Amino acid sequence: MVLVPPLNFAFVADGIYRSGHPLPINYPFLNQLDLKSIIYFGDRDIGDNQDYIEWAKSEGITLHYFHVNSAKEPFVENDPEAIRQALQILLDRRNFPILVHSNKGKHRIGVLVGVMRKILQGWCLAGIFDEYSRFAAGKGDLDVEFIETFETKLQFDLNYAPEWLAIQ
Amino acid sequence: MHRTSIVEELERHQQDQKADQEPGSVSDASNSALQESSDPRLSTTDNTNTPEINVNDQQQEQQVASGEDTDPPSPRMKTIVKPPPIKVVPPLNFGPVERNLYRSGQPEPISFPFLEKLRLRTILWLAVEDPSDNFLAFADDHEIVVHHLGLVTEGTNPWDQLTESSIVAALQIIMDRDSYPLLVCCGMGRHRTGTIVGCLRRLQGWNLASVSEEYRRYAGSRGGRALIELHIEAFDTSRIIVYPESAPEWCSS
Repeated sequence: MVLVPPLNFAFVADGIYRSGHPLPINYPFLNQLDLKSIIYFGDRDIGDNQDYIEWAKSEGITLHYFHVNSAKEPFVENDPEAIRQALQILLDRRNFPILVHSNKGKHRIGVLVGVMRKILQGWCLAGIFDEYSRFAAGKGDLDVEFIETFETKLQFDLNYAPEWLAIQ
Repeated sequence: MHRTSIVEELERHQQDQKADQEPGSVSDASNSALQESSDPRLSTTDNTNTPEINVNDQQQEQQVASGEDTDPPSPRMKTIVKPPPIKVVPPLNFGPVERNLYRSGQPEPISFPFLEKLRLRTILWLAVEDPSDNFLAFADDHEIVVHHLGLVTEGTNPWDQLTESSIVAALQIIMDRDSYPLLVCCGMGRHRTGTIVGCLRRLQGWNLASVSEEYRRYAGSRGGRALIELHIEAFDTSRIIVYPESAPEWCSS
């Protein structure tokens, strides 16, 4: 049987995957990941997505939906509070394996992965931007600016911290 | 903030760890810059030995029940207010592929601290040329086995593709858990590395469109090469023998 991963699917770090919005054709692929949670950054009414919610429920997956608009210059900006809350979830490996996705898996989720690389893993910005643009395919000046300047305060329990967390 | 209570807490935890071998905890927090910023409110709850997990509001509703048999360990809350002071630099075209399996271009010395954290056991080097001396020295210092799979026949050109036998050899190493953690790399981490990862994805049962998408993501601004994609498409995955008992962790399903 051929397995079809969601658009822009990739492994991010132990316990974390990223992608665009899963469709029914992707469910067999996703089922084998044994997901425990999903973070979805979307700009639509989640009610439009009833089938998807049902699927997650039937698989016992906790779906964290964040209503977030894609950054568009010059008026729409990324939502720091949604990013902070998502990072909090990523800091607890009891939520793993987790899939983080937006609609296309390019910009909004690229920003989340970018700030994760910066704040939780200590990557240099050049490496972060390289990864961001590999998925974003053009566009996204505002996003990389956001990644660079984003600051936050996070709390986590060392007992459940992910292995890849840079603790210094 | 009261540093002593955290030191005590750490010591207590280390004893606990010896006692019950609790899996997966972060051990080395002794020199943590985060200690100073730990929230006093949370560390006081520590001393009451309550099994409750203390979390902030946002996390409360997101908390997943712990699946452990024993009582959960007492929380050891830490705070992050800024990125780690020391930056790490991933190699050119670096990317995680699966658990403990990575891809990249040829790492420069500036990326060696980053690579150290991966605790590599094996490197698959796919270019025709030898790796740089300092990269070889790095591998040597860290007792990493380097397989040079690009150079197999006399007169091979850098622009030639990997041979079928190199691909088979590479995939057999990738499908052996004793090789892990493992880095697959070539000069730029684009086409040769992309060929191996592409054939691996086929072995995993991915549809070809997704395999190509991933290959092109790493192929750079000049895009993917149709011949490489053809090579991936035509690769006979039945040539790879996967032994379930020695297969890498990530393909347990």
